[in-house]
Amino acid sequence: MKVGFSNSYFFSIAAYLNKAVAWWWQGLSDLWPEKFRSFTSKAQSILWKLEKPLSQMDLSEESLNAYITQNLSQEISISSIESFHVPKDTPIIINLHAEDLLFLTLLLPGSAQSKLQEAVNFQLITEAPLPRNDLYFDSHIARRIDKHRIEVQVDICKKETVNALASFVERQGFVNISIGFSAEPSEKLDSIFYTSSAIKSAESQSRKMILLSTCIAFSLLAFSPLLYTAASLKMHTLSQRNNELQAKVNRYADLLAKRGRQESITTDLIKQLPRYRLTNALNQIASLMPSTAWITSIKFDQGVMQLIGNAENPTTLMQALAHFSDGQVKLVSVANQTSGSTPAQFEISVQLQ
Amino acid sequence: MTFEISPGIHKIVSIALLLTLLAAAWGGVIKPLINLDEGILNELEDTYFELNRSSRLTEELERLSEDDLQKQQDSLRSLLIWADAGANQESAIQATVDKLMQSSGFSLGSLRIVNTSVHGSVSRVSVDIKGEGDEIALISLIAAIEKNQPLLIIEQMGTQVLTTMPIAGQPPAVTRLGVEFRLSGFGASLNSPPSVQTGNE
Repeated sequence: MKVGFSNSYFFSIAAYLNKAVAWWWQGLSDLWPEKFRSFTSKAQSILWKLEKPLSQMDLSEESLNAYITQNLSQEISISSIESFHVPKDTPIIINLHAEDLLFLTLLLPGSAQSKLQEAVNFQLITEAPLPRNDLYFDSHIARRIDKHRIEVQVDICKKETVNALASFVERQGFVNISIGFSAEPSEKLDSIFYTSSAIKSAESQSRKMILLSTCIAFSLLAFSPLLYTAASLKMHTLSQRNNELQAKVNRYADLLAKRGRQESITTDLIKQLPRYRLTNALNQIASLMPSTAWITSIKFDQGVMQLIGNAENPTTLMQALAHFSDGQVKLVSVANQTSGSTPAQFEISVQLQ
Repeated sequence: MTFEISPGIHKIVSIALLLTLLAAAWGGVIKPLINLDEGILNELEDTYFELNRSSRLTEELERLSEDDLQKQQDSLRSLLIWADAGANQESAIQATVDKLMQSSGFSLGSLRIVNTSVHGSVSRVSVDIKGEGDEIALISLIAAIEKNQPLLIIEQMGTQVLTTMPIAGQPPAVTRLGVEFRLSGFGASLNSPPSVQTGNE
């Protein structure tokens, strides 16, 4: 009895998976085509991105530029080389003669959108001024005229020119990243003419980018287990130290409990004690009262003192008691004089603080 | 079998697949890792807290002495009416009040325990007292209550004039006052409860 998949099953699944991923990626990249293909005016130039080998790194830019100009001019008829810079991915803009780059605008049915390259390839058989097999081309939808028609821009370059450039580059020890068309020297290719070596280079470059992205992602993911491990080790060390200290604390637990109990009693006792002193309040009231007033009754309940007495002039009494500093004094009532000899009876309330 | 789908559907399916992949990566890998890290960091924080507490207690132990604790206990004992769990609370407060009344020249009419309440680690017992005396005896009694050790506090007080003596040209002099007090005193058990041990030994 066989367990698991055979190789043929595995490769079938891999092939379907590959197709599915390609289909998925095509759907995503079609979401923003204008991000990859945007240009306003076209110059007759080719942007050539190279990867400089390490052996060439010691050459100065000027000498390398002169070397390429001299050798390339012997093989291909070029107008001029405009720039040559940047240490690693080296873009060179080569101005070609007008007859080497062609631009076509095609009107195609809307249904051609899903298989644009094939449709353009077919159209070029009749539309291109040169035989189809002698051309490299790239195409993109310039605008959608209506629901049924699309305007397609086609950039064409002689295969002979592109291959000569690619061949020259390889013979000089460089690696092709891509050979394509650019409207401006922005290092961004608007159209790419797919030579076989350029495709390989592009794939290689993509693999590098994917590898780099994967490494970064895994590094970020690896940070989490590293943090976990470091924290666990630290916690182990701290726990050991804590256990040692705790053992010492436990040996004197009775002493600590006794101290805690005493502190707790002291705190609770302080909470229960009033902040005022009744004798102080009574002494102060006695000293503030005028000699024509006297107290006949004192009642006290939870910080509020009620004083009843007689005063010849209750207003004077209250003015005097306004200087009482241990609380608030309020006049509750004043009774009218009942006989000529007894002064008016007053009742005041004192809130002690 | 082949089938054609429109570019719009193609894009939508691609986006849905991308979002599904991102959600799966988040829920299946990234979030569990984050939770794991959060858990261990919280545990580390707790361990730091425990260590700080143990360190603080160890430092305090170095400064703590039996003599200091005994002095603190003695000073507390003087403030409390009773300091042992087994003490007779009623007789303790009766004895304290009797002594106080006698020393201030106030005659005690009646004494009744009202209630006992617990406030944290302190018990508060209240008594109602009725007595008689002159003004000076009342003032000296109030002053004595406030200065007394064990601590006593006056919760309620009411006075009633019993007898007066007329004086010509002046208010009548009070010769006898009836006074009612509600006093409270405090007690606690100074003996430590069963010791609380924490952590590992």
